[in-house]
Amino acid sequence: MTARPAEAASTTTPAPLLRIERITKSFGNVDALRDIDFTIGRGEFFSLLGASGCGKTTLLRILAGIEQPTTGRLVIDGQDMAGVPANRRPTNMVFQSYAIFPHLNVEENIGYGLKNLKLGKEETARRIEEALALVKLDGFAKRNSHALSGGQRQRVALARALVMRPKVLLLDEPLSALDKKLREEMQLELRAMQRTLGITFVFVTHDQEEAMTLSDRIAIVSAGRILQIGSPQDLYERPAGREVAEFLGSMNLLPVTVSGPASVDAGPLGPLSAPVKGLPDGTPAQLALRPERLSLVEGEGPAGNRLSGAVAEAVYLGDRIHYLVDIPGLARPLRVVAPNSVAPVLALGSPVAVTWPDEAGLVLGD
Amino acid sequence: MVEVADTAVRAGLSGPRHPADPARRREARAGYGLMSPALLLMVAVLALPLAALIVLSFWTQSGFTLDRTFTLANYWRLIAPSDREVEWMGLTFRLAYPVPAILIIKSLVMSLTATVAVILLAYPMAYFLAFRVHRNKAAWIILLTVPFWTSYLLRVFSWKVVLGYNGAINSGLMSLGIIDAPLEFLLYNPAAVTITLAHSWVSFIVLPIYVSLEKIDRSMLEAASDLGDSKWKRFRRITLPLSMPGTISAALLVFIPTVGDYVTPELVGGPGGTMIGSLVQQLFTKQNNAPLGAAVSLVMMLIIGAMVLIFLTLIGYWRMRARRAA
Repeated sequence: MTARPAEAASTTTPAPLLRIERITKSFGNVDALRDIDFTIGRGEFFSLLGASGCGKTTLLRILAGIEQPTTGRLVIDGQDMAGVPANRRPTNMVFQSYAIFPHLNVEENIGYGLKNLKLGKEETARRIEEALALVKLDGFAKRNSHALSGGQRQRVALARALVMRPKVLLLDEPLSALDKKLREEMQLELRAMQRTLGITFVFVTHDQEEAMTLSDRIAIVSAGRILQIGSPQDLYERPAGREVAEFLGSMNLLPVTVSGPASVDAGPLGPLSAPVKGLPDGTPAQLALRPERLSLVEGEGPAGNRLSGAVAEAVYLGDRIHYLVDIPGLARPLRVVAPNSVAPVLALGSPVAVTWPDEAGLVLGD
Repeated sequence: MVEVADTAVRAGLSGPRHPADPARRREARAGYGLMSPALLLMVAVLALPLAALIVLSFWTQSGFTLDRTFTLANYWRLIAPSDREVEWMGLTFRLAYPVPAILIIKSLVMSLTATVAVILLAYPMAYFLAFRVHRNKAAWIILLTVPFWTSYLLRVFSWKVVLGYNGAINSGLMSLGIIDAPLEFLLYNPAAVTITLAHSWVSFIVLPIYVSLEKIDRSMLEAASDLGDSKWKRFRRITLPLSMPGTISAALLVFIPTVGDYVTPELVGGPGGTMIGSLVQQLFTKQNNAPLGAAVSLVMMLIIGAMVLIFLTLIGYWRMRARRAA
């Protein structure tokens, strides 16, 4: 764990630094993780996104060496981590509870790990000062850890891990205890910090917006499995399945049957056009439509993908308006997000048509 | 002890800040109301006897007549110098009446040894209970309290059976052929007293240490490992300092009452294992000199009080210095 030069901030195809090979983890009869297999690139900001209890924190703890996988292999920077205890791994962790040592002050907390590196007094002091400046806590060195606010504790935890210059920084929901404004501020700071330091970040969160704001790539974890890995844009626009589609953002799902290479049959609603990939004719599927890709037209509207109905609810949010549109023959009303334009908000009950371009529709197999 | 002082300080800070606030006054009245049964009991069985003891120590007694004139003679007797030298354990006493001084020092040493032994025995047990036992914790805790189910006296007596001339150790060693005649140095000496005291207090002390260890957030330990600490280093840097307050109160809990213990030295101490409690008892009964007995017990109390105070101050100072040095 010696000083390494900062890696180039943005590489187009990052070389894998972390290889997770077919890892499973069982607690008694319960499988917390099943057959996890992927790589994380050098200098990448990688997020594990999932609901609580999905196994994302367990995976992070396996990376840190706090938990051992039941089967499978973990390789960090070419070195197999089997039998390497947490204290000898090139990883450091920011704990959800921050785990600030209460009997030590800020400076002693940040310097805690440096003592184990035996860098000498001057280098240690220099690094602590650097870390304090990095997390904007200059002047807090002698502050008692009891006298810190939540945001400050979070910064100390971050500095304490970063000062070790790990190859991989593991963050376990570090922002979940902060209020919204502070959280958004810290998100931007974290992102900037990761870019300048070039350290690989593995970030666990249940907040999809946070994951999208921060990450180069996101892995969606559900019930101990990884559903899909990709950039925020990939996941949002090309979800691999219904679960991912519903997890990220809001999605309208219409039950359909595939009827051709570019068309589906929506039963009582008639035929609709959408690009179909890899699904044979007659397959039951879901037509997924993002609310913001739908348009509302008063009256009949133009030809093409068009569903007629009536406005059931309109919520004015300033920059945009959320509509719920009842479509006869559809169990749930369609959600439509319209940008706020000069046109007045549509009255409840007014007859409208919902339209969308063919390529806005996504056909997902069940 | 530390916690008690803390609470007292906090209560003192928040109490008189708004003396005019009627809600606060009502609260204070309710507080005294809740405390009054305990307070009355304390006054009746602690404060009044203590006051009586203090008054008694300034009187004198010869034979059966109590002289009620105020005098410091009893205290003077404890420190009055003399030309005669008395040697004890390499220490030379030039006192006219050296017995109390010798017994006080001896009691302190024996009780300190017992305290150290208790902590050394109890800490690993508490550690095991807090960190290694995951299932049936309640069962383990009940097992630890089993010794309390028999009386203190019985436990002391059983050590007599273990260490005695025809006791378990001697007969065991003899039947194994390791010794030919019973060992006589096992019972009736300071070591026997220390062993018995340590054993009687261990299970009592495991619980407060266990509580202080159990309170430690496990993520602290994970963080320490994550930052490069080996298990031993982590124990030294996190577990031990965080469990210190509980351990110190536990140590005081053993030290303070064992200095004045009377039963154990009487039963297993023999002539060599006498402690200060035996002297006080003798002064009050056989020697018919209650005022001197009162003076001895008050001096003992002051010494223990001073030692505890110095100990706590040193720990506070040491903590502050450790903070500044780091």
